[in-house]
Amino acid sequence: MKRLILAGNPNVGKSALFARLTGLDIIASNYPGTTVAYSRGTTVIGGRRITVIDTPGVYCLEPVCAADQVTADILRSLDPGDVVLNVMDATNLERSLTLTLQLLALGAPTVIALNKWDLAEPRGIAIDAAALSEELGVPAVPVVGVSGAGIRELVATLARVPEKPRQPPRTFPETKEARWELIGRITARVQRLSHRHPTFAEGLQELTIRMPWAALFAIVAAALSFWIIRTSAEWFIGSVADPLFMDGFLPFINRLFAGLPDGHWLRLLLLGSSGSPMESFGVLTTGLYVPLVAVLPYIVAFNLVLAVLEDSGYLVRLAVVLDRYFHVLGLHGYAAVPFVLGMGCKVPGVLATRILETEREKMIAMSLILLMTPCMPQSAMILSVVGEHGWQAVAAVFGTLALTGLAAGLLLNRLLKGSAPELFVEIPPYQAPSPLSLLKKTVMRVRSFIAEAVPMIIAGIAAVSVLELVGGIRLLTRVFGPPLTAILDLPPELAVVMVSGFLRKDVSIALLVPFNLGAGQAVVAAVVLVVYLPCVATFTTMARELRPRTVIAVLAIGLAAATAAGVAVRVLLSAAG
Amino acid sequence: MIPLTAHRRGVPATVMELRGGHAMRSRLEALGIREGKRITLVSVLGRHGPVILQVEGSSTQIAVGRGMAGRILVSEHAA
Repeated sequence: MKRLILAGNPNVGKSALFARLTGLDIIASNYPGTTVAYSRGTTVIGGRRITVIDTPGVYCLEPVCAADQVTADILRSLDPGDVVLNVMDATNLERSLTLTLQLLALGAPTVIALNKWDLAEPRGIAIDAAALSEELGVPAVPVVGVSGAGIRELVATLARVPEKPRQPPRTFPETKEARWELIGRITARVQRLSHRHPTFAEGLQELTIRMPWAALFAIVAAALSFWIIRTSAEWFIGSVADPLFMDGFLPFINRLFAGLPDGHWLRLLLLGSSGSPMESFGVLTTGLYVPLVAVLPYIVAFNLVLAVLEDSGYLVRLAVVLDRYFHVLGLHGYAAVPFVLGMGCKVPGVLATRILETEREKMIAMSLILLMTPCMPQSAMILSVVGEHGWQAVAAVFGTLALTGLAAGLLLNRLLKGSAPELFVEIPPYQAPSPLSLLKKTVMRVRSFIAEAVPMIIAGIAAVSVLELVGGIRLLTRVFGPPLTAILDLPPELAVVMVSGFLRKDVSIALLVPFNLGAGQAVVAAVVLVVYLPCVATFTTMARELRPRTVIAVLAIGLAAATAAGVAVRVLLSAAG
Repeated sequence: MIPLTAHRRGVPATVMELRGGHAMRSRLEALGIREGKRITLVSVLGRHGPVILQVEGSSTQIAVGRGMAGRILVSEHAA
């Protein structure tokens, strides 16, 4: 065996099993469409190193079933020596069989993992794994991916799989009728269902998807999530992170570089120009304070809350409840998933738009993600920088972003040919999230923030300092300053802030601090900064996901929306005095 | 035969016909919604919103847009 390819329906637990087999960290969640690209890892089976490939879930191998063709492409070009591990959901046996029969028709050596084995019995489902194995002619091993039960047996079975393709390959029934008949026969033989009345807990769970409770529950969940994130992050910053930095780290580096004379270029670069870590713009002061003190606690809190929403199964229900409202924007409710992910970081948000079917939807979704969902670093900085002017100013920023997105969505839905496809999505049962997997997922996402954002923030601050040293700022101000003042009534010196916003949005919001803007100007500047261009990381991800024409269109929409929103806020605020 | 959307919530019904093109039928069938299957309407989200249904023998529920749900025809009597 050279490669082991995991394949199965969406949300059967392929990623959890992949993580078990390879020991790699990979994001697994409780909703269909978590995995949008294939992942590769290695494991040892029977004393040999094997490449393991995780694929996005599909219901069948024909184009109608797969939103994108990644999985079908991999499975249709199997090499000799490839083994297919068909992951089936033991609580959804009959439905899983369509894909299983198609996989068996490929002729490659195949093993079946009957995942979620532990959940079958409580639901009144009894499966005879031996009989299933006999019916299909391949080994079938019960496993529990999230706990690891049965993995050892699975690996032992995989080690015994013959290298050669099965001869002759099982034929896939040609007509639908023959297929259903075969599936019906297999199911009838291997599965016993005992009828069971819904429990009280299940009755309660149903309220979260039934009106009017569903709407109430969604509002409470959103408000509670925001409150938990805000309160816990603010508490941590105020009583742990900020004191540590101000009383521990700052005096330390000040002593360390005490030998450098005032005005020395290195001092300016490392420590910046003033004592306050939000205003100094040194690589070691602002460059570390912004990501590690002001933003990181928000990232941790957000990702913990997100993981609970994902793993419990509520996120997909929220998407269904929001479906009606998303249709107004030309999207269906499942677009809520990339939106929510985008509130953490836009890169995974943009990647998650792959679960949407058409280029039209992807274009609308990406535009709106850029316009109305500032990522967590931006939100954290808006809360702390614009928050200086009171909660009304913060509300004005987020309110303007929401209205801008809404207006753009209405307009795009009207202008672009076509309409939103209908929602069609599976809702997995609720499950209690395991604390360990919540923690693992959060650590993974926080790690990627630290690995990607911190160097970028430091590079951005260094770039601004170097620009200042060589006089580039004056040039930027002269070119971009006048339009900024004329259109948005912002000081021309903000030009450099806008330009740096392309590198990192959180830093550019911090760059506003030394300007001592009025409340109105701060709102305008924050709105424009969030909207006018995506950051470079988001931009490169977008460029990979969309056709160049669509990318240009999305950027143009952002720039136009930034100008329109900025002018609107300026006019409204000056009218209100 | 009546559309699923007109059927009583919580009472299982038998699917009689899927009125739609090949793509729509394939998507529904892939999730186990096909002629002869028993399905239950779980929830209806507003006048234009999606409906949620459950296929007998399956642990997951399925959210279907209103238009598509209206083209799933079920038996009128609770069979």
